[in-house]
Amino acid sequence: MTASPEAPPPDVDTAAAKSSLGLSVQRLDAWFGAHQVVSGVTVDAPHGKVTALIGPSGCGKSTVLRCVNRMHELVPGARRAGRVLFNGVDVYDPAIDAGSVRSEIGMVFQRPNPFPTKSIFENAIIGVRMSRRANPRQLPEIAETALRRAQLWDEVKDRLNKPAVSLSGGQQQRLCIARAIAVDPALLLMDEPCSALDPIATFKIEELIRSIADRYTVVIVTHNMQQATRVSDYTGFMTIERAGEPGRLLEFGATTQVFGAPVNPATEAYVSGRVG
Amino acid sequence: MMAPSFRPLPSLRRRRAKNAVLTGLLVSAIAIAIGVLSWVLLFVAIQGFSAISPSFLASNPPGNPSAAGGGFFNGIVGSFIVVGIAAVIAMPLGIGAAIYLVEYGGRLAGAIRFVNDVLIGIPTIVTGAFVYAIWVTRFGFSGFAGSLALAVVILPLVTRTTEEMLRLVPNELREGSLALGATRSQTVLRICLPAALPGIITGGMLAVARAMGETAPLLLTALGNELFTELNPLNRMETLSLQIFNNAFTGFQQAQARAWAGALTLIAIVLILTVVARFFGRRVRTANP
Repeated sequence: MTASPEAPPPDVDTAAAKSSLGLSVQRLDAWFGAHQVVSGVTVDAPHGKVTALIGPSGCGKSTVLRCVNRMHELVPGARRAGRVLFNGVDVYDPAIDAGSVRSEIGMVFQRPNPFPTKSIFENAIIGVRMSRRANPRQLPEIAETALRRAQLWDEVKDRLNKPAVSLSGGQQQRLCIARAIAVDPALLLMDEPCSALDPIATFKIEELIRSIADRYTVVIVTHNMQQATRVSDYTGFMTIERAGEPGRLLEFGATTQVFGAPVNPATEAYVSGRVG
Repeated sequence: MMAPSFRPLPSLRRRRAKNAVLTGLLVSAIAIAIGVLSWVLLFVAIQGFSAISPSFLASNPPGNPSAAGGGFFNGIVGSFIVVGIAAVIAMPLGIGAAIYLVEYGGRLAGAIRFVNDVLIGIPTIVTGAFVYAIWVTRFGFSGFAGSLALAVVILPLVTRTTEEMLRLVPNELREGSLALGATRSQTVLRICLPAALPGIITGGMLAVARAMGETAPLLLTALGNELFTELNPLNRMETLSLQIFNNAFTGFQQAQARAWAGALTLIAIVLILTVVARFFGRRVRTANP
């Protein structure tokens, strides 16, 4: 990727954004048609750390995530404004193709979505097949590395040619993480990755997130606050004032601070369980 | 008896009677529908079995329609050639159109879907007349003209079923693929089509089965050829359906017997295609639990 030729807005400290590795979302607005769902969200997610976005349902957390890897624009009528810099590069630079952004920024979805017609092995390497020109002889190695990092290898190494849908829900989700990792992204976006899983599968995914955090920039959306405290280093709290209003970021900081000593009374009410 | 805590319902007897009447109506509707269908099948089977023989499947009709014996070999061969060419023309077009409608959408999609629905409803004799006007008047009667007419008949069916099958592919799979950096066409070819393939094959088989039985669009195009086995689709060609029609029409008992045997053969072919289609349809359900 190349650096953005576009002049930065004066109110953004690009020197800081460019010097630090990681994700920088700046004054992001997002719409579906005429309906604004996100307003003025600014979040920095540093490299090697896990950043959580928490908040009630419908507050726009997922939309923020989907703006980062340009999945938002796939919805007919969807628009956004504001900047998304990753490792100093504007992902909305007109010279940059959305596909190359998405192969650099992996995504894991709410419900495990392995490709049902493909084997475990094929699922693990299909992103490599589609987005990079890999030597076919390297594919087994790429699959093994990705499955090991997703902590799934020991469970599937003897049945790599079995259909992916023969796995349990938690295993399927770890396969989806392996599938994203195999493309060798620098940033992993996780959109409530455990919301369809039982507590044991959830625990394994959380463990996995901690184990890969030092290699990647990880941003996780969750409405499970315990999960945010367990896995994240930084937390952003988003909310909507009333139904129909766009979601805004109310507070952002180290996870210990947001949960231990929140500045905003609304954050305090939410993380202490009094609302939401 | 009812527990005292349940409030007794008003006019329980009337409710029960209504229920019985409605159940009775539905059961008789089903019985009549299945009865008529099995009557047709059984009648054709009885008439057909008395006339069918291995030599019927292997020989051509006698030159004189009032003579006994002979068979519909040329029609069976012709049907497979004419329908096969029609399928080769219509399948890629139909599948391509459906991919456009579902995966690319666009402003034209609504209009195309409407035209497709209209095409499904066009009487097939009209399709035959259309191909006669634009093709046969220039190039003469031929098996290929028949294929064109049948292709027009099954194209909208293939488009419709493929569209429905692609719509059944969960959007999460498309997103999963696009999120890996895949292009839209890679997503369609590697993810959506394989997931929908069993259903598309089923739909294609059923469309082919339908084309096998079509007679009206062939009357003005393939025309028929009683005399010999024609393998060149550029010449006029016999098909099983035309042969049944023409033999039944003659008034000679021997020819009518051949028509019944042909009808049985046609039903058997359609049945086999349907069973094969079902087999693939079962696979789609096990692939997406």
